[in-house]
This record gives sequence, C-alpha cells and structure tokens, in this order.
Amino acid sequence: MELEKGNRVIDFTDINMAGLFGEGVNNAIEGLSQMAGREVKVVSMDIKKVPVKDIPDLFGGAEALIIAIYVEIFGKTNGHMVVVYKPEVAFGLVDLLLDQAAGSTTELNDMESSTLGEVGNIMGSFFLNYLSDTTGQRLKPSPPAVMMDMAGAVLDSTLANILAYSDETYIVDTVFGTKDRQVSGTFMIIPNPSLEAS
Amino acid sequence: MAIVFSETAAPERELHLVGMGEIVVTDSPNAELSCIGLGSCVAVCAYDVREKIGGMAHIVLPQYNGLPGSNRAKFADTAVPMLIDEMLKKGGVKSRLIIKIAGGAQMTIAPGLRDTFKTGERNLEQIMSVLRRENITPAAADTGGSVGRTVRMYVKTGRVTVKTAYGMPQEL
Repeated sequence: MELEKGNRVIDFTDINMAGLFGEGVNNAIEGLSQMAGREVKVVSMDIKKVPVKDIPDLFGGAEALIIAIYVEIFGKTNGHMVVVYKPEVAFGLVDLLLDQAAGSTTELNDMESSTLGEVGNIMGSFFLNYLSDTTGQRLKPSPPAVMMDMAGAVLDSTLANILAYSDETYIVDTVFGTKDRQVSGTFMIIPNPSLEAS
Repeated sequence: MAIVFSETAAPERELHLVGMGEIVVTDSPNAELSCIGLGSCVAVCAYDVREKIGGMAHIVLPQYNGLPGSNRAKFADTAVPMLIDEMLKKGGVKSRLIIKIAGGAQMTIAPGLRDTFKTGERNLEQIMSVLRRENITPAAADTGGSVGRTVRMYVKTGRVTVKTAYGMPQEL
C-alpha cells in the first residue's frame, strides 16, 4: 500500500519497520541495563531514513575513526546489526559499564573490546528477541565483532549489501545513560534480502 | 556523481572523490582521484602512461544483479569493463593500461563469526576474473586483510598511494 505525498512515495510497510526497530532498540538498551546492573534509560531516540551513501558522513566522513560493534543476524532472513560510536563515546560507554571514572578509558585493548563485544551480545540478543517475538521469526545473533577503523571501511561491506537493493536505510540515533552519565550511539539494522544471502 | 572541488590552499589541485559505485576517468594533469575509507570495497585504478589518463572505479559488490535502475558501476563484473571503456574513449590504449587494485578487506573478524557474505574476497575474485578475460595483469595490488584503506591516484604521474587508518601513505 503506497500513498503519494508531494513527489515522494511513502510505503506503509516502511513505517511499521521504523516502529519495530525503535522498540527493538529500546529493548536492547533494557538489556544493557541488566548488564550494567544499574538503570540505563533511553533519553532520546531518533529514527531516520537516510541515503546509504551519506552514512559515513554522519560519523565525520569516510576516513574518520569510529568504533563499531557488528553482529550478523541469522534466521529466515539474514542481516546485520551495527552499533556505531565515535571512539571517545565508546570509551565513555566502557567507563560507564565498568563503573570507572569518566575519561579512564583512552584506547581499545582486549578488555575494552571484550566489554564492547558484550554490549553487542546483549543488545543483539535483546533486539532480536523483540523482533522474533513480534514477527514470529526465529532470529539469532552471531558472536560480535568490535572494530576501530575508518568509518567508510568499517561500514562498506555492510552497506554494500543494502546498496545492491536500496539507496536508503534506517538508522536509529539514541542517547542513553544512567542518572549521571549519557552516551550517544547510532544503530543500524540492515535486513538483507535473501537474494544476496544465497 | 563524483564530487569535484579544489582546495583553496592548493588551487592547482583538482580533487575527485570517487564514491561507492562511481567511476571517474580524467586526463586533467592536476587531478587527484581518491577512494576514501575502503573496507570490502575495491578501488581499481587504471593509467595510460603515454596519454597520462587516469581512471578509478569504486567497486562495491561482485556481480551485477540486473535489477531495474541498478547502477552498473557498483559491480565488479560490469564496472571493470566500464572503466576500461572510459579509458579507451578518452584516448587510452588497452595494451598500455597499468591497472592497480587496493581494498577488498574483511573488516568483521571475531572468533566464531562466520562471514556469510565474504564481500571483499568475492569482489577481488570477480575483478581478477574480468581482468584475466581482458588479458590484463594488475601491476600492483594491496588487498585483503582486515584494515581500511584510502587510495589516491595522481594523474600527472600515475602514482598510486594507499593509506591505512594508522599509517602513512605508501606507494603502490
């Protein structure tokens, strides 16, 4: 079902998708709360449909350093979930989760990677549980990969799979945190058409 | 469309950012072609030494999917012949073309993570197979691994450099 609005076609299935992703991300943050053993709340959430080509620009350009947590999604549909942070924000998240003073973490070593990997695990499974419950499809996350590299490089293989079929995708900008600290991150959930997965 | 702009500090330079699924071919001696932040994507650089024509394709996926409106410059099997064609149209000669490739990394590596898509590897395989069909052997390649790369070509000299996130540009 489609409706013309101006010269742009709005697809209602898309609107449902946006809602679904939003709730899924909410659920993922709830998971983070359990991991931290403290209340972590979503402060704000903004779901946007953006041109795929512009995504690296959202993080300071294709060459800017970012930290990404990547989880592959398996099930009836394959896909990717990527959570992207600017390095200093990811370090802040590590501090928050390990209950360290803000500013303690300054680089990505084994400990930090594994903490962020756990974030991916928790968020991935909470997000997918929500999606599975809602859609009735069984979806499972892969183990997480944590990367720090150029934004373009980290994202292009993921984006490549959407670019084959669509020039736009959803991103969910969130700010979440405890009473005293906040972290902003961007989620991208990329369903992969079965054609590419075959 | 590729973005073309000149930097104020060096007005004689003409920078072309070759985005995902774009091909740029130019004989402008001041041109610098660049693919920034390549992961599984691959930059295929072509250069005609005598005519000083430079070309770069930013390849995203291995095979053209044939979907209506799909941009053929995104796919290895269609983009490489397009790049060669554009080089010839500008006055290049196929036997003189120097081809260099960089990119095709596997960025998402973690224990137990199987990469269903293997996009980088498949991109490289497809590019090599098209080049074999065209009877072209790449002069240099910096591919694979798990690092992002930025690739630049200086059209005046045909020099190609590759830079990683933590390194200095290295000549290819």
